[in-house]
Amino acid sequence: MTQIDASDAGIARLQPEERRHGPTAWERQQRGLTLSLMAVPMAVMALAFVLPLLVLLWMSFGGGSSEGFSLKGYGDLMQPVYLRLLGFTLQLALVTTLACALLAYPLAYLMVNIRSRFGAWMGMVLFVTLWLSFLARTFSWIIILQRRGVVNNLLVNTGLIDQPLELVYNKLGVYIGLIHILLPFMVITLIPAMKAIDPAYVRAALSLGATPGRVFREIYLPLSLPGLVAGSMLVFTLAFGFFITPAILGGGRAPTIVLAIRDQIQTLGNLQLAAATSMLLLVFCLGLLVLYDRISGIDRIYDRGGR
Amino acid sequence: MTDFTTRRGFLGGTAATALALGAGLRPGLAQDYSALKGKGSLVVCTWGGHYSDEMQRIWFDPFSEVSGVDVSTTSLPDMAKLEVMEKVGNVEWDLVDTEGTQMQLAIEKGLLQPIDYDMVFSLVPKETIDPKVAKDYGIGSVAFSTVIAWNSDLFGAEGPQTWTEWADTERFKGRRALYAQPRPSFEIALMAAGVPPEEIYPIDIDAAFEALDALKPKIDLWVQKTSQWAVLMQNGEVDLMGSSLARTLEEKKRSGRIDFTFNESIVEQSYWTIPKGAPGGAEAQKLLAWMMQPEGMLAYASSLPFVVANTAIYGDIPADMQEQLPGFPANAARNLQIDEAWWAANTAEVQPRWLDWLSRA
Repeated sequence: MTQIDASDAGIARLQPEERRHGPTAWERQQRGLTLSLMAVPMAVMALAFVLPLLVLLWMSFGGGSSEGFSLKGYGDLMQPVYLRLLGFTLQLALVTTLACALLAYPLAYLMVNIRSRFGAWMGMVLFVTLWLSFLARTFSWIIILQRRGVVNNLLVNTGLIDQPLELVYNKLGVYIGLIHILLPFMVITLIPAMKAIDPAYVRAALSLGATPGRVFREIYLPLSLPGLVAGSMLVFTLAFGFFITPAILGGGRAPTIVLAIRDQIQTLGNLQLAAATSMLLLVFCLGLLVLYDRISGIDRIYDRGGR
Repeated sequence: MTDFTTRRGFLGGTAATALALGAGLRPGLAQDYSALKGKGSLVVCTWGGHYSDEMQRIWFDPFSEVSGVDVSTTSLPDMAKLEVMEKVGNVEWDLVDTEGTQMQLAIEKGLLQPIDYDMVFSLVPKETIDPKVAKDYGIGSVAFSTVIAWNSDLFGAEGPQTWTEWADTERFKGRRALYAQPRPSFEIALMAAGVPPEEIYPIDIDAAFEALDALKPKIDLWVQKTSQWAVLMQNGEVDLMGSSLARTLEEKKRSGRIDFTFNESIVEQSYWTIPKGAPGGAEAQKLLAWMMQPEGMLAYASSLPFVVANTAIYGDIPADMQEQLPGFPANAARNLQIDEAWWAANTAEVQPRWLDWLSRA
């Protein structure tokens, strides 16, 4: 992009002011090239993402239903239960994102900076867990956390506790399962951001007498922030829509808004309500995105730290 | 949505008995099947896993041999999806294994075509089909049972015999689990509160929630998926259950540490239905008739513990089979049949209230 900008500026300098009414031949050609290159990806975006969303929006207002257009879907949605489930789901997603960020940051740092084969092994282990099915991993947590599971047996047999702890089939179990399942996503978005940080900055700051804490606060953390923001958004979105892990590990005590959507479709057959609920989720996520933009500047996600 | 959202996607495999019983029950050569001859292919939408593998083996493959019609299966029955398919005029299913309430929903939305009973009764005598499950727009496929089950290490064979006893925390000390769904938790809570099974319907929704309030502190966990039962039972996580008969029976045979009773078992009927726009509708009617024959019915019921539509199969079966077939008259007499019409009419009101109730601590 910088090269094209430069030639734009160059052409502008060469042209007399009064002749610059319409686009020049160069600008037209450039625009044509951009459009033709963008045409295919834009068409894919429109067909695969924009169109289904528009259909969903249309359905949420009663499109395609026998009763015709109405606000009934949104009216039905304004029940305390849906708002409360939304609140809980939001809390679940936020806490999971925060925990993933805190856990993934040192992990990614270690993987980027370690100088041994161990680093490669850590990467392997991380990717292998991503290949395993969510369902298998969810059930594995049950084996570990249940009343007669690995953890409780160890604690009870060593005499540390008398009664097994309630580690699963409640909200705690949901958090443990979700954080474990989503942690790799945070790590793999942090790694490239951290790799792009030039170690010379850190060395320079240290050599100029900054304390390690200050170097981290003022150099490393800001430069790795784009990765952290991108990872947080990814984990948040996934956690917000996660269905199976909360359903199983929650023991019925952690119903999410997605569970309600499933009921609306499968049990009630109410597509309009389900579409309206989905639209609410979408608006919510978009709202958070805008908030993120205000706070951190969303375009920084595409920056490569330190360059 | 994938198949793990259903209560029966993960039915386990205990087909040995079926093989023993089914072997002698190949379709008789004397029967004239020329009316079943057809062409093309059929897509049956059912619930996946072992459940539909057994249907393929016992019903669909032999039908293909006789009729020349290929049959394949897909999952899962979803009336919202069917509605969309009917609307855009591209129905992918020819025969659907719908839950009773799903069928009611589909009938209200005009998605189904009537069953051709002339075809059915040309192949099987009318009196052998349970009239309760022979409806205009559907004929009984199988019925699922939710039973009172318990940890027999703790309670031996003397487990709770009614839901009231099941909920008695003085007499039966242990951890309890139920399905995280209003159906059949409403029925269970009402019976636990002392309402006789025959007086459950029509359900008074407020009374049901009152009964659930009384039950809630006693329930240690709510089960979302049938596949969870095996894990819960094998690990002794819970001791008293309102669990799927298929899973309970499997665990009883496997470990011997689980026992159950047919008393106050809750039976939910499913139906074979044919979508209005099914491309292979005519062939699907033939397949339906084929499936109503006693040989396949007995083979299927012996393989998986479900109630089937043909009631003539229970005449001459061994005692150990009698003890595990929910449709065996002595067992069926003790069950409560889910009133699908009531549920279809009231689910829209009940479901959000149930979620609200369940999500409140």
